[in-house]
Amino acid sequence: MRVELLGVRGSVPVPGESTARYGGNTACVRTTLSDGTTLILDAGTGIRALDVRPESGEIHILVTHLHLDHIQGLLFFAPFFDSEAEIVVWGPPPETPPLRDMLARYLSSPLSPIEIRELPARVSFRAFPLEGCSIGSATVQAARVLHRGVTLGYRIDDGAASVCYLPDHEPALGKPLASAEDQWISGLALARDASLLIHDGQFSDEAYSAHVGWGHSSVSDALLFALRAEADRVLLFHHDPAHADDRLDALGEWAAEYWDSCGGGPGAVALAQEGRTLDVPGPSTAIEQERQSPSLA
Amino acid sequence: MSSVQHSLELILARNLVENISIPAFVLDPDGVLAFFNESAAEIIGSRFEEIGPLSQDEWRFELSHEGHEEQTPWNTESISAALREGRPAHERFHLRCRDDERVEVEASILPLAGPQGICGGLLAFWPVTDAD
Repeated sequence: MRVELLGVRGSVPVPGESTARYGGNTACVRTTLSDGTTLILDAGTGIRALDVRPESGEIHILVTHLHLDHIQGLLFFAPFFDSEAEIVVWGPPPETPPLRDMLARYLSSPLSPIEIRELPARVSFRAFPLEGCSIGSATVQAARVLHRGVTLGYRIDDGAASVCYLPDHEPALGKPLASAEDQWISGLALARDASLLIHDGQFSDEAYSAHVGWGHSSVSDALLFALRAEADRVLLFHHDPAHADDRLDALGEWAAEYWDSCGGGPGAVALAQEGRTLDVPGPSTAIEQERQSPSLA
Repeated sequence: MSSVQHSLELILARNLVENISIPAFVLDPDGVLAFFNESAAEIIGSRFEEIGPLSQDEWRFELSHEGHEEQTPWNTESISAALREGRPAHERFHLRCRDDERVEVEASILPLAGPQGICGGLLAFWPVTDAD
């Protein structure tokens, strides 16, 4: 399975020189399955750069929740304007109001120049079935997780490779992760033994104390979660828009030291970086291809 | 995936119960006593970690006293009905505490329902006083 990070920022896009290395686009991750199927995780502004051809088959977009930083790119997703394209947008329950109606609040006047009904592509909108489903060569599972508002985490299993995507998640809300039992930790079963875990790591530990309940994780909580899940590798995601590259470098160094101090495997933790591509072949053998960014924490 | 992961609603209920000062239980959809808080522990005389989790039969035995003529046991049927039908219920009964002391309490159970149906309940209780 191939994973491409197209947007790794949280909350709001932050273009500019000071954020150029980690990237300023909001949440979007493309996964390409072993059979060539494309699954797009979230539709933040990073989706705008995605080059996906309608002739390559049905396109699936799995939206975790409807906060703007996860859907803002929909209006700029080129296949929406291609009458040959078939797109399925999956999102969180409930069925009522329907996902299409919820997204139409954004894709309608006065916020949008076009209405959702005017999209030329054949688009269907579906609540993701919590019992899971098969898409292409993968089994996809979802679970509702702790964040503000109804929010899903996703897990994609394709052969021996598995990716768990929890971009907005505060599993430590209300209790310390170190002492909580497994069955009481939001999202833990979904992330169990994942080859690659992409997890919210927005706040430094100092900043988190002033933001408990905002729905995001401290770096140490994200790493403790990854250790509890026994994930092979973890990418910290949803970077704070206030954090420029230098600040993220420092957080990455801190994360690597903390991971090491907790007994995590060497080189298994990094900060997500826009433009980066990884091949995820299976447990304990994730091979990374540094296409754009050779030096990472 | 593990099958023992609690639902998000139950996780949130436990988070709430851990952070409030009203004695309260968290029950799973089968009536298993999945958690109780420190305020409940003060009345019961044991911390949850010492005795839980308990099946409905177990906590009826451990925390109540069936067959005691002068004291009312847990009415587990009302709890089962609340969890089955999704209707809140209210009961008065005697709680067996440490050293076999009995405390009469009133309890309200609030069923918790999510997109996949009833996923448990939150049972809050308080000792009956002379004013009651």
